[in-house]
Amino acid sequence: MSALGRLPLVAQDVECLVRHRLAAPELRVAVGQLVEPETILAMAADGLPRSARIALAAELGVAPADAARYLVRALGERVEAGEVVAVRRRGLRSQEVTSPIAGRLVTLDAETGLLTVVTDPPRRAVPALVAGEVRSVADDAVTIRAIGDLLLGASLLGREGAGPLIVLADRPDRELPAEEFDERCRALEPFWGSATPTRLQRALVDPSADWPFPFGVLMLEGFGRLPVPEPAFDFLAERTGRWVALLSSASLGLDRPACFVSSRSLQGQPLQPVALVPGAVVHLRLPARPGLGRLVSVPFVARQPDSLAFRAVWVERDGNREIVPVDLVDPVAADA
Amino acid sequence: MHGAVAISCNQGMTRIVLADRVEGEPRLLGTVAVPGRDVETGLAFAEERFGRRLLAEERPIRPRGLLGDGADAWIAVGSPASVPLLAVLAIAPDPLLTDLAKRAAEAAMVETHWIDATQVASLTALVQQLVELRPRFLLLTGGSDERAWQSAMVAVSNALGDAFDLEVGIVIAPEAIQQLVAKTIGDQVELMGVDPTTSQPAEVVRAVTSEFRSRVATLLSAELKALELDRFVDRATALERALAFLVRRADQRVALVDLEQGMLGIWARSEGMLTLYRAGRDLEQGALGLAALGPETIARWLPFPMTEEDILDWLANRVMTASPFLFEWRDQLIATAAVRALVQDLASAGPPSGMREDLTLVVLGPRLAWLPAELALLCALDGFAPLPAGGLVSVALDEADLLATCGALAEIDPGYAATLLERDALFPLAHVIVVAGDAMEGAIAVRGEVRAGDLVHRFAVPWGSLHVLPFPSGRSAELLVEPEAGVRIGSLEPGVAIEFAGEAALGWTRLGIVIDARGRPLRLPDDPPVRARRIRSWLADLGVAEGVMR
Repeated sequence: MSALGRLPLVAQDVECLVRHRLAAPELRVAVGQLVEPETILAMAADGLPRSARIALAAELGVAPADAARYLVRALGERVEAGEVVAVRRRGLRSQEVTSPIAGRLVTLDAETGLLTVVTDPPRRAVPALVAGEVRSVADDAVTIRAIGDLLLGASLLGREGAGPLIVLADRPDRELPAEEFDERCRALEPFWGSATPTRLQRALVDPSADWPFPFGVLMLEGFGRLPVPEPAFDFLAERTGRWVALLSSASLGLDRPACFVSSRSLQGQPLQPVALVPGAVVHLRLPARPGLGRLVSVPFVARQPDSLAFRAVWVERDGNREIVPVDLVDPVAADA
Repeated sequence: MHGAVAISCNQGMTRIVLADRVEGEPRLLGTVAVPGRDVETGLAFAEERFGRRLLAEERPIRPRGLLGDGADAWIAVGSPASVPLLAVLAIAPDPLLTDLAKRAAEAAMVETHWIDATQVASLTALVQQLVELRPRFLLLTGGSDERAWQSAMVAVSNALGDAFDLEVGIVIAPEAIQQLVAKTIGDQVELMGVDPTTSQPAEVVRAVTSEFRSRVATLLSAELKALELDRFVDRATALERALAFLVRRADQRVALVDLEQGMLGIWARSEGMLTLYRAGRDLEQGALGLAALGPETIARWLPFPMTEEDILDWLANRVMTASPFLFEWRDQLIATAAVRALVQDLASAGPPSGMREDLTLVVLGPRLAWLPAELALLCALDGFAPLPAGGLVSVALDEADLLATCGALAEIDPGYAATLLERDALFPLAHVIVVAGDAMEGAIAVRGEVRAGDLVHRFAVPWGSLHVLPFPSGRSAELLVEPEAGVRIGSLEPGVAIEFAGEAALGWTRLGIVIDARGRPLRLPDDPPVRARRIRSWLADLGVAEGVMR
């Protein structure tokens, strides 16, 4: 728990170090190089290699040492999922063994009769996503110093990405059904539909599961018909047409993901927690009733009920005062 | 032993429980809870709150000092940060052995994944399934079909070769099969076995469950290694031990629900105990696991309309916020509905009907103690739907997490733990008289009289409602309840009255005495608006303001 301050919901001209983790990269940039969001940092593996073990000897009913005789594809060759890799003739019948995954036949263990297939993860070009200067290059990461404006989100589902910002809604509480996505969002259309929330929810529970969309989703407030926080809506509306990046908490070294709009400034302020002081406008991330309020106390240790100790603040909204845990309070802006 | 500190480590909450002798007797000094799995902050808050130093150079102070710093016993109770995965592989399935494996797996705090080897397309598919699951524990069970075992063991052996971190494999099978398993995978993994043909079913279940629980405690100890505590006890074992004490000491028939990490339910009575655990089903990180119950099962307990989509959104937001706090009435009402659906679902897999409902005490774990008292009571009454033989069931809150603490402390000093449990463990929420039988909606079901000192209050409760009889703090109350014709109190004969007077007078509770005249089984109208009105009327009966039921 943060004792006295919290990162602001929105911040302008802040300096961030964006760290791109790379697997088996072929680097294309050097330290000190200036990069644009589209600049390719490296060609790198997209995910980790998967392997499958085929119990070849057991499936064919032969001794492990004999299993190699029945291979119909050589070790080192590529096979598709469901493709036959071994055949044993039994009288008039043939017994076939297929590969459960697409990949390369790597080894056949003579002691166990186990055939290993390994997928080579596809390699992809890794863009910088933000404009800035390459600060460090290592075997597994490239770090970029970037200056820009930042909007904190609650959760990033799927992969990081970048592109031009389009704000379709005309007000923070406008609900956009799939049919209202205009031609500028045509690429999203096939993926957006009534089943989308369920698929997003599944991704929330099992981040390791295959992400069903070719784009990431930054959740600002939560699931359901919740208005976008007004400061967040204003932030986005003011930056329409600019290039924005959706970055994970790990890339930013923060405890939450963010939307980052690169600027061309040379100097930025470090992103720092904002003191929670009376009078500050704050955004409350209370699931049932998110919204804006005004602090009327400094943080204190609340006990409610008696045994639960947590850092909290008194917040005033709609004429009422309520205790809110500090963890659910975001100062709206760095200068609040 | 003078003073003790228990660290209760759970998924969304860490608690520090401090006990010490007061006038010679072990008493609870207090519990401090902090959000998250954060022992350091918890201990710091405890030091601040109790004005005692507990750590010196980041190590527990022991023994307890003259001024009260430190403690003589330091224990941890709970479960590791992530619930270990158990794969149960049923080979040549035998219904009896499958049932034993199920009971053993359900009583340990593990996430269970079932694989029926006869339903897997090929050995390769079985290998792949195991490799992708990467279980920490493996339970192998099946009959005496050696061929089936041999081919399954080839698959297990191949999967083990893929370097996943399998800690232990347990075999429930005849001795000859155990030997076969040992021969094929014995050099790859630590194996244990139990022969169901020479052991009683209950012994088999107990042996397997104990082994998994001990492994779970070991994982917890590895996580808290730096603290050098005296003992690490898994939560299920600690709670069972505390409930066994309550059953022995007061001949209670108890049911408990605990939502600290997943959901744990225990039914205990002198004839035996049944423990059921469901990983990934709670109100925080496991909230979306509730979707498996069907959102409509949650919606039916709500006093306001809410679409299934909105319920799924609410559950997803619980996962996303991952905060234990529920300050808003709307959130609390939805949580209460979810808990009732969860408990009902768990109870349906619990003891046989009849035993399941015949309860004298329902205990709600510390997480439910944060709900408003009226809502906590409904979690107990609607979830377990108790129908006590004698008509009276008490509902209590384990607010301070003392049941698990005392169950764990008993490993070090049983006498100390027993006294602490008796004195301070349960906070009485309500005594409930359960009315069953048959009557017209709105017709008088029971009449009676409650006396607390000079105060005498007569009452009549209509069928289909709840009625609260509060009585002053610090007083006991005498109660007489007389049912109308055709109406039963608990499982007593229709028309038989009950009286609690003299030595049997009822002690104080937060809500008082509640007459539950809604009948058993509880029937909810099928029509959603009518059903919501019925739920609202029950909430109003308990004193919840109409304004918050939106």
